[in-house]
Amino acid sequence: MVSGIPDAGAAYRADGVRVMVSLVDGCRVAIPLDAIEETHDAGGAAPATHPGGRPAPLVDWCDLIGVAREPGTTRKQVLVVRTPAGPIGFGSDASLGIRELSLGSTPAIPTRLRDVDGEPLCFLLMIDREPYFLLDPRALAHAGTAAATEPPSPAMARGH
Amino acid sequence: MSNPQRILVVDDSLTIRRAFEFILKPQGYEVEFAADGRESIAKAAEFDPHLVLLDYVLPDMRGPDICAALASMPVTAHTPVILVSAKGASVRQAYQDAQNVVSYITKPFKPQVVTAIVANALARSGGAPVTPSAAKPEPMAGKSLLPRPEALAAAVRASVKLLAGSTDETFTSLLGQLEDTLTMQDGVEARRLGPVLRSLVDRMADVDQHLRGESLVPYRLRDDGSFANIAATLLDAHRALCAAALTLASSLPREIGLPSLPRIVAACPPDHPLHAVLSDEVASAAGRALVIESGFAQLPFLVRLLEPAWVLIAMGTLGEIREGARAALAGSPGSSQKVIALDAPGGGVGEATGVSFFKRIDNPGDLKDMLRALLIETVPAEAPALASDLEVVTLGN
Repeated sequence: MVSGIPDAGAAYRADGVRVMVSLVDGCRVAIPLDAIEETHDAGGAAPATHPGGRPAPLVDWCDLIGVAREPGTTRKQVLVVRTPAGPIGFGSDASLGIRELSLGSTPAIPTRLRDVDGEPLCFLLMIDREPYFLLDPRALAHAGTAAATEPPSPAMARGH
Repeated sequence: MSNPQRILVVDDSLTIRRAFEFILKPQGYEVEFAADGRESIAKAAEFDPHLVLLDYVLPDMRGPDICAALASMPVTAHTPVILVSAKGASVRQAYQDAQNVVSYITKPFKPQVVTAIVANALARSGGAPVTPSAAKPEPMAGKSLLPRPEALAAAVRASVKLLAGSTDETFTSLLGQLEDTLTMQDGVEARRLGPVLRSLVDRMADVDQHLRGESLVPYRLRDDGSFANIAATLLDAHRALCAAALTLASSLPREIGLPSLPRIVAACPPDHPLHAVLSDEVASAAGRALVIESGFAQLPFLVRLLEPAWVLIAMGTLGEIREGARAALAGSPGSSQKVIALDAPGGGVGEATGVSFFKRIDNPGDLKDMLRALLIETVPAEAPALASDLEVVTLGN
C-alpha cells in the first residue's frame, strides 16, 4: 500500500464532501474519500479481496464509460473503492490529491451514466474551468459485478 | 406572574372545565369558565381574555357562531381561539371562515399537550391583547408555499422522531404547524398543495389517535366504524407524506431543479485565436455550453457522458486536440451529435465518421452568431441557415 486514508470517518461535512481526485485519460475523476479503502501501485501490492478471499475486480474508466481503450493502456495506480458489491479496484494514471466539493456552490450536472432506475451515477462539476467527474461508488459496483460475470456492459442511458 | 394571562375555557362538561383548571392554573394563568355559548360571549366581554379554549359542541350555539360573535366584539376581535374537540383536525374544516381560530386540542388530551399549545398560541399573539397585525398574519396573497418549506421539513423530521418513539407533544405541535401553513397560504401553489397537505394533516391526525399517554394504541376507529391497526395508519401517513413531498418538489422553481446537460462541448486551447470569443460566449450560455482548454484526451468521455448536440473543435494548433477529436468521434459511433471543426486547415476531423462540418472563422462575430444558433437549433436539417453556411466535409480513408 502506498498511502492509507486516515480520518476517513471525518470526510463528510454538512455542505460538502471530500473527494480523492484521480487523473484518468485526461479526465479528473473524483471519488468520495469515505469510499476509498486504500490506494496502491498497479502491479505492486496484492489487490484487495472480498471477505471470502475472492480478489476484488478491477474496473477501468474506459470500460465504465464505454469508450474504446487505447491498445496497451496501463494504469499506474489502483484505488480500492468500497461499494455495495464489495471492494472494487479502479485504475488511475495519477493522483491529483484530495479536495472538498460543495454541491451547494458548484452545480452538479447529472451525466448519462445511470443505474437501471435512471438515477445518475456520475456528475459533472466545472471547477476552475475544468471538468470534474464525481463518481458514485455504485457505478463501480454495477460495472464490477458485470465484469465478474460477463463482458463489460456500461450502463449508459441513451437519448436526451 | 405579575400580569397573569387570562384564558377563558368554554365547555359544557364540568369534568373538562376542572381538567383545564388543574392544568392551567398551576402554570400561572388566570382562568375563567363558561358552560355554554351565551355565557361564553358574556364572560368574554367582561373578562377580556388573551385566549379562548372553545369546545366544539355546545348545547345552545354552534362553534362557528361563537367564533363569529367573539370576532365581532371589539374587546375580543383579535383574541385567538383554540378549538377543543374529539375530532381533531377534521373539525378545523368547519372553521375555515373563522379567522380567530389558531389551533386545536384533541380530546382526550395530555396536560403537557395543553400547556404547549396554549403557550405557543399566546407567544404568537404576543401574550397581550393582540394587535391586528400580530393576531393575524397578513394573508400571503399571490405568494407561494415555497418560502415555508420548513413546515414540511419539520413534518418529516417530526414524523421520524415520532416513529422513533418521540412524544405526542411533538406530534400535536407538528399538526398545528401544518394547519397554520394551510391557513396562511394562498395563490396557485396553495391550490395545488392545499389538498395534498390537507390529506397529510388528516393522515397525521389518524396517527394521533394511536398516541395516548406514554404508549401507542394498536387500533383506531375509522369514521365508517371499522378498525385500522397502527401499521395501516402509519403506512397511509407515510404515503401522504411522500405525496406532499413530491408535490412540493414539483412546485420548486425551475431554476433550482436539476441542471440540464450542455448542448455544446467545445475544445479550444488558450493560445488559439478563437479562444477569447469562444470563452466569452460559453460563459454567457449559463451552463448550456462548456469549453475545455486542455486535457483533450478527455473529449470522448465528455461526449459519451454528456451527449451534447454539438461538438466544436478549434483546430490548427495542437496535434493533441486533433487526436482527441478523432477519438471523440470514434468513441461515439452512431451518436446524434454533430462535430464542427473550426479553423481547421484541410479538415481531417471527419475521418472517423465520414460526415462532419468545417467552418472557417474569419470574423469573431461570425462565431458568436453561430454559437447562438447552435444553442437553439438541433440538427442541420432543422437549421437551414446553418446548413447553408457550413461546408459539409466528407472524407474517405
